[in-house]
Amino acid sequence: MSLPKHLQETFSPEEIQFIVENEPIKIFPRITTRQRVNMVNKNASQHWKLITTDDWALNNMVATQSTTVVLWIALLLKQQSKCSIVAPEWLTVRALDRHIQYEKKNTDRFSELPWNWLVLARILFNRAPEDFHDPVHELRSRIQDLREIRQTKVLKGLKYLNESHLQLDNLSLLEINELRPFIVDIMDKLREIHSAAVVAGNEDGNNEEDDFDFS
Amino acid sequence: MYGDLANKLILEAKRTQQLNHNSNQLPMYHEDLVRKVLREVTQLKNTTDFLKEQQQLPSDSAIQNDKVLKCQYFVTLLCMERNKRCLLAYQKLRSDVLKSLAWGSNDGPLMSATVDTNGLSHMEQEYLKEYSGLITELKGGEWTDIDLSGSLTPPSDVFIDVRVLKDAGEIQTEYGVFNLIKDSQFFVRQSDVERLIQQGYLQKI
Amino acid sequence: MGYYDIDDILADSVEIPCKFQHDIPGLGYLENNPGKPVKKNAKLELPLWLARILAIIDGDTNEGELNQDEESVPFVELLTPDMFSPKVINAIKADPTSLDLHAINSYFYALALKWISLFSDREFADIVTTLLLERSQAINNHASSVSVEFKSSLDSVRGTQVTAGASNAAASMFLLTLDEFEKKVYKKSHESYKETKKWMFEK
Repeated sequence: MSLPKHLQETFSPEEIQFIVENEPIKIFPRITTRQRVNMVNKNASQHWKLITTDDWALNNMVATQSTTVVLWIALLLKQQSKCSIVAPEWLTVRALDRHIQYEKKNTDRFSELPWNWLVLARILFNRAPEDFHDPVHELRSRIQDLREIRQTKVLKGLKYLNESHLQLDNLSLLEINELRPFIVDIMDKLREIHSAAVVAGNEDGNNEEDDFDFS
Repeated sequence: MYGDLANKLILEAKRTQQLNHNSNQLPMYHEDLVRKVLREVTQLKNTTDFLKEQQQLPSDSAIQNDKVLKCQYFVTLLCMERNKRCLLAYQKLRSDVLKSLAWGSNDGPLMSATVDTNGLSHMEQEYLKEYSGLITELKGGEWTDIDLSGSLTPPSDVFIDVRVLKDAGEIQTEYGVFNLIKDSQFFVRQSDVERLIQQGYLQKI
Repeated sequence: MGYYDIDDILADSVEIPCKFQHDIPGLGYLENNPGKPVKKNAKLELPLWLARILAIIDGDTNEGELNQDEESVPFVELLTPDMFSPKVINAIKADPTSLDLHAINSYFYALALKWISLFSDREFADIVTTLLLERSQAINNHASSVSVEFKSSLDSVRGTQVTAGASNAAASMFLLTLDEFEKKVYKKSHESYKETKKWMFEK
């Protein structure tokens, strides 16, 4: 196959980071790119055209007025000190504490964190630590706690693995991604065992049609 | 016992599979083992022809003979099919490795220069050459704008720090000329240097 | 599984005890006795690829004449091999995780699948299912225990180094008892956990 083996089963975390970087995020720009309406000079020197995203936000920034752009643009601007990033609402000490309480209280469910919480937290900690209201080390430790609690819960939840389905609500993309090879392989094998027995059982005169006989 | 030689071939294949888990390498092509298996198959074919002839002959205990002949025929046939399967699987595994060699390792130094063609049989060398030709054709057809054998990790920064591993002389880029001396570091645009990283001249920090 | 799958081929080469139902001359080489016939009721160890077909096809091909007294009987009858013996089944039921599957047979799951589809053994399928489920929990536990070391050298290219968590003896002992299929699953899931952890701690 032209795709290397380590990418055939599941996404690499770098690819997931790439996907997450396409999500919108709020920023406080420090520069203004919006042109005045009645400008006679039509040499729009600052008008960027972007291929993959909508360029309205980039071309209409007003300093200190919050606006929403995609994450990768925000990171670029941040690198060039042209904006500061607004931390999302769930990434505060209070909100994270609430989530941790929920996780500890309900041992059979996962709290409703956004699908990209792990990736987003890591990116923001590395690239924009000074934009948080709360101290970063506290946020980091809470994120670590959340991760560990959820990991143990996932291990418990895997006991319910069967050949037809597994339901683990509210897992983030990165968590699903790291579980994917394991779950897919084991469920495949369980399905094979199940259908081997079912097909054999059907030969005993039971004329049920087995639709999912893939073996 | 028929099928034992073929089993040896499959054990070879299993070893190759484990060797290839992280890097693409191929041990020597087992020319002699393959030939022995093929000879065994010819032998078995002769046996089956003989059995078929026997079936045509009328004989006294027809029923008994029928059963016996059928069983012998089946056993010989199964041995032949088993040998065929082992040969095909051995060959397929090796050709799959050759194919991934031809595509090259996307995130590391290009492999095509370092392929050891001595371990391959004549047919396999042909295969590798023609497959690489196909790939080059594909890349040069409609897809010239996309580097299909480029890095598969998504880019995260526009400019990156690189360290020079080998002396390479002068490199001309959009932003000026870089003199590549061993162990010097540069802050360059990722798209320019990706090729050089793949070729092994630069290392990303 | 598949025609070209190496593990499938190796699983097929495992030998199963069989009992011949007929006298077949000329097949003496199967029991290392070339030239001699194989007698009825003789017990031989035949590889699965051979035994499977001989156990399915019937021995009689009477054209037009159906002998009512004799039932058409396959050439061989497959006897339960050691790996599926009641002793092993009891061991499975007792403690699936500490069972040394590799010692019983390296291709346990592949062979169990083939056996189940040959013999329509629902009960055995259930046993194997519970076996797989229990062991998969243990495998996942081992695969997800990835420890992270931070390289402190100044000119290190990568700031972190992720090592496998199998540094304790018990874990490596467990990994030796896995059969081929479980080994594959372990390798893949361990890789994925390692990659994720490495990415998490990279600047």
